[in-house]
Amino acid sequence: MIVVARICGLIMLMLSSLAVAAPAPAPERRVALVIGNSSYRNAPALPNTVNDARDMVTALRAVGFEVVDGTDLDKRGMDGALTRFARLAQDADAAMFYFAGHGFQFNGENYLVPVEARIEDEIGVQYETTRLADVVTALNFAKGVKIMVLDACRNNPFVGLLAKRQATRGFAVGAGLAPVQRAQGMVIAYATQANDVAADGAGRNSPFTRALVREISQPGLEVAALFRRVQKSVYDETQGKQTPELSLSLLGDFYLNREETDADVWRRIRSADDPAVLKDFIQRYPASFFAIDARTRIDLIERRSLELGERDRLAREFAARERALLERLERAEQGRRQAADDLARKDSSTAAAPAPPAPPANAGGRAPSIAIAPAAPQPKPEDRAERARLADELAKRESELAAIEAEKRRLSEERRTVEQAMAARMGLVALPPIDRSTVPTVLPIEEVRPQPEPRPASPSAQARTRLAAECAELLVRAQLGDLTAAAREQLQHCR
Amino acid sequence: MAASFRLGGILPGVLVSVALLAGGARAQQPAPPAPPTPVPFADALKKAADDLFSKASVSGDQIELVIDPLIDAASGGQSTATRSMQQRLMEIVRASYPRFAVQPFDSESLSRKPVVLVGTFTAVNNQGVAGGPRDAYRICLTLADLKSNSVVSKGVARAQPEGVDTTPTLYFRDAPLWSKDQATDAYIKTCQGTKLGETIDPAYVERLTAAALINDGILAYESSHFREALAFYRAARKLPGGEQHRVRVGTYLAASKLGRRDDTVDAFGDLVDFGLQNDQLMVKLLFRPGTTQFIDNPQVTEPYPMWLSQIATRARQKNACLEIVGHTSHTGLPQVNERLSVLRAQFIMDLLLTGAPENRGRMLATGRGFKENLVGTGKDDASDALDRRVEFKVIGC
Repeated sequence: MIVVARICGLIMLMLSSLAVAAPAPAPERRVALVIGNSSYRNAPALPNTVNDARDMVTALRAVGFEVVDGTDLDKRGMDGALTRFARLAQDADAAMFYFAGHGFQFNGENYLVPVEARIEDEIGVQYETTRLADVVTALNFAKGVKIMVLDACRNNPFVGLLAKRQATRGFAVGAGLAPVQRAQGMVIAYATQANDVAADGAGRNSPFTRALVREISQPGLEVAALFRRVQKSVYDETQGKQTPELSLSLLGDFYLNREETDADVWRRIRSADDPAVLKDFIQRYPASFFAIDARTRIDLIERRSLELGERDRLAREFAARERALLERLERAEQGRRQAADDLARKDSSTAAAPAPPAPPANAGGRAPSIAIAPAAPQPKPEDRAERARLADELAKRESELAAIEAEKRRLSEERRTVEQAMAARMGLVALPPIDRSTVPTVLPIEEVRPQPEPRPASPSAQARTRLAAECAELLVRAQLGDLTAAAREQLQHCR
Repeated sequence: MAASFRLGGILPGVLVSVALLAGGARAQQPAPPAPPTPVPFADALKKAADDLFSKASVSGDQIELVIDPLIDAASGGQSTATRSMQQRLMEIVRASYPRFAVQPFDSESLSRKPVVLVGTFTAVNNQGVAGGPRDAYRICLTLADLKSNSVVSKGVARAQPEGVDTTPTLYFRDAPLWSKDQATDAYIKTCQGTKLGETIDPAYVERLTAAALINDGILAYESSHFREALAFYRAARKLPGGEQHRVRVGTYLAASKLGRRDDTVDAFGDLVDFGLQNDQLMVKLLFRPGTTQFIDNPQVTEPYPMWLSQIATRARQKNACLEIVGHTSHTGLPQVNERLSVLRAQFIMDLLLTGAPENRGRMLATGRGFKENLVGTGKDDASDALDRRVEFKVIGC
């Protein structure tokens, strides 16, 4: 529980004078320089900064940064690291600088402090420290996003000394870091507000770095959102004593962690019907808010496939029954048609046989010949009996048809009830309606009944116009305020 | 049931005024080709029948007679009146003209080439004033001898409208629409347009056998034997001249009573197609009196949306443009009726466009008031429902 104040006067700077890269899909080159100075010889040591630096290195490597790192660097070490970083940064798509250690502002300029530096006067400031401006220069070699994070603005242990020495020369020394002027395309974030000091932290990391590392590991956070979250968690953790300061002027979005978020993944797979995909999701994001949804969905799918199996079975069963019925219907219909035909033929033949002397032939010879009516006493008795028989037959067929039709109605009624019950059991409307086309055995009986003769147009066109007509009818019904609930639902499909 | 059909004009006070007019007409009775004075219905029928049978130029002591059901010439339909006339005619024959033996109207009787009685019953203006109120009924009876293929006798008379029940029979009351039908035209021509001794219209003769089956179908329908009715229509369809409006209407009615929804829709579509082919479709869409709302009888209005959607889609298929013409019955002031008829047509057009918006610009709504009444009695009951029709005319686009 050692609370050591890191000497400060430092800033986190994120410079980005160039256009900001969008969440680039291409192989993006990202480079970073991470320095953590802990064992200061001429200033209070900062036990957490090395941990901070290491954790940051891990976090950045995890999200695709090539990292130059160093801990407890002296002036030469820092210069060397900066040089290597500057080389790497050339034309990089993103360059980031992270420093945990002491820093201060002197005369409006910011300085980072190596471990062995002795800063007793202005000369010490100039030649024993690393100027932040040099770091900015190195960052500027990159062509893309520039990020500078300085977890350093803690109290300046040199301030008393410098102020005493320099006061006469009119130098100004601040306790914290000087605010860096805002520039276009720049994001600036301080571990604490300007001229304030930051806590080193009671645990392994400073509050700021702990939050930052955690947020970087979250995929899909835009950099601005990311730092804002850091800001908030630091504020909360320090009970409002420390508020990281942020200055963002990025022109576009930048993602430190380009991985898909669980939300992204979930959005993509949430309607998946494959339980394996959903299980993968749960494995990958066990803590995700959506893991529960995924589990629910797996349950649903399993239950549904069970039900569907049963539904299929029922559908097949009904189809078989319907087919049998249909066959009977067709046979009966045929019989009926036969009977009707016979009757018609009988009628027309009796009508036609003695009829031929039609108007033209007869017109001239419209003679008095029609004296006594009958003359040809047709074979009436048998004829009459035959006609009676045929009419009888017809009637019988008709009643047979009626019986079958009644049965058919009952069957479809039954099926509807079963389907409704099943749908209710599954409690879902989203379930795709049973696709009759995949169950070829279910014949739409109504369509099959011998139709009133002339049937033009192809079946599909016919179906289409029938559908159009049905929709038109529903619309008219709606207009007349005469819609049943079922019709209303049907109308949705029309739209 | 008939009462619920009074919808057309506004007040049913007309009967009184018609009677007054008729009285006035009788009082004047001027012109030379003096129209026969209407007499009470029973007397008129008796007179026409006596003329018909006593003067028939057919020889033989046993003449087979079949009656092709009498119709109202305005609507082509049968009514209580035409049915009772048939009944009465048979009684008259039995009582006074034993020479004639009435046979059933079926193919078998027809095959023996009997004498056929046809008759029309038409509401007319007794003075012959075109568009004048119909204040009398003209009875026209004709005997057509199939053997000689000629008209062998005629009997005409005019009846007073009192006590005449022109309520259509079930089939004709239920018929959803009216359309010109060659078979009916031929029947009417045989009765009204053929003089004594002239050849019978071949269009009538060749459809007779089918007509017999159709009549069976109509009777089956009216006794609620819908299946049998359908069978008769199907059989009729197979005969020459069987493609008739009455078959289509009958098929629609029977299918609808049987609850065969798809068949009903198809049958109605057939009717619409046929009407569109003839550029004219008269549909019995019934309105509440004096309003543009459909009547308050769900049983009657239930199929209206289906009808309208069929009209809209079939017209679209044929790329036809429609003039929607509203009509009212002969009750109330002409201007009011004219305006009302336009509003009703407009209402129907709106409905059609709701169902098939792509028809926009292909329809217009007009109204004729009661200027084009078919029945024209102004009774405002089921008998002149046709006068309150909405008509769809195919017009140039």
